[in-house]
Amino acid sequence: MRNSPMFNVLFMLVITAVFTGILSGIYEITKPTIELNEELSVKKAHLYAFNIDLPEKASAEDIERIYDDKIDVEKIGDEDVYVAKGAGNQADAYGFTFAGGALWGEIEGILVLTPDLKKVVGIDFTEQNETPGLGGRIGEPEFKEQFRDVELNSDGSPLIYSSSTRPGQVDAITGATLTSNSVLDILNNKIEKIRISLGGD
Amino acid sequence: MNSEIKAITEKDLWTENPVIRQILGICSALAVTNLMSNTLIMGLGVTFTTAFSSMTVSALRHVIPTRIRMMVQTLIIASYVIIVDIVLKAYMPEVSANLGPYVGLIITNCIIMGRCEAYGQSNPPGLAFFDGLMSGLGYTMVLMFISVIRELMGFGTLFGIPILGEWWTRWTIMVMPASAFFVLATIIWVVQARQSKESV
Repeated sequence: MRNSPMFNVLFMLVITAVFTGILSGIYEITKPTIELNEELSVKKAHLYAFNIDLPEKASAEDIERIYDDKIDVEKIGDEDVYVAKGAGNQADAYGFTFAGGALWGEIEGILVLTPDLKKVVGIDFTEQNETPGLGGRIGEPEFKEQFRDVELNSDGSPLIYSSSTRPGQVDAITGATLTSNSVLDILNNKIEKIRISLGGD
Repeated sequence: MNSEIKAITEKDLWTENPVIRQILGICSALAVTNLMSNTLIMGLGVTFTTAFSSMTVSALRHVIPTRIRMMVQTLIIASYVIIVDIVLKAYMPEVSANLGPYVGLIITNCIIMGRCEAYGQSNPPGLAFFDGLMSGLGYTMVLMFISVIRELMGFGTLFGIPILGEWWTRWTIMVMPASAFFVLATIIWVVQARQSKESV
């Protein structure tokens, strides 16, 4: 009986149903927590890129409150643009989400520019799976801080890495050339696009 | 029972260590060992999965049809790996982000299925759990050893805490997966030399 094909098929069906059932249960229970975590990490990344300081040990509620207070979402064309409102309800900075392929997979993040689109306020990544310790270091403050208050070039590539032959605004990561170059390409393409769709003003 | 537990401990941690003697779980030994904190979580994830998978296989060993046992084992292992992934995402989101795709890849670790086949299949659940636990710890032990060397030489830090200071020139090769080959091979060489002396 135990080795009859019918029994094998039935056994596999039943045991798969049991295990998938258990997993769906656990998934359902933890789903709200996971979604909240993801939302929070995106909001934290946005606040970082906008250079808005969070108090040390900010709770989830603090982050939500500060985020709702400081950042609005506006639709420009078919794209969501994040706007930080300063004094007198004037826009202080604009945040644009970017995405593109790098060495291992998609990199997603936010690029924040000043209203005249000539200066970077900050960048942060919300999704990246680069090599831990090498390309993965794009997520570390040492790399991201370099982009603060960088003036964009008005002709040629807006952002350039420093090299031995010419000065640039930021340094690439040693040992992670492909990831570094992908990040810069994604950012430069995004800036180009923003300039085309919003430029001139 | 007690002598069995002692025998399992000695075998899984030393004489038949899964990484050093059986050369299993090598892919993750290369991939995650450049930072100690990632290595530790990976080791704990594998230990948890091996222990519970082996126990579950053992508990069901009289019911699982022999012909489809590998499919069933894969299903059981995959379920526990997904549990680890979900728990990390929900309660340790930063660790989960650091480990990225590696958590899902626990399922490809040969040690887990190896223990289910070699031990869980033919022994009672309690012992199978213990055997899985010890195999996982044997794996973790070797990986931690590799990661101490790699993180110290590659970053000058241990668990992210600076140890060597500014004068240390970081060895980029130690951060790359290839260096784990050299470190692991050296460890295997030293351990095997010792073990063959012991057995004479």
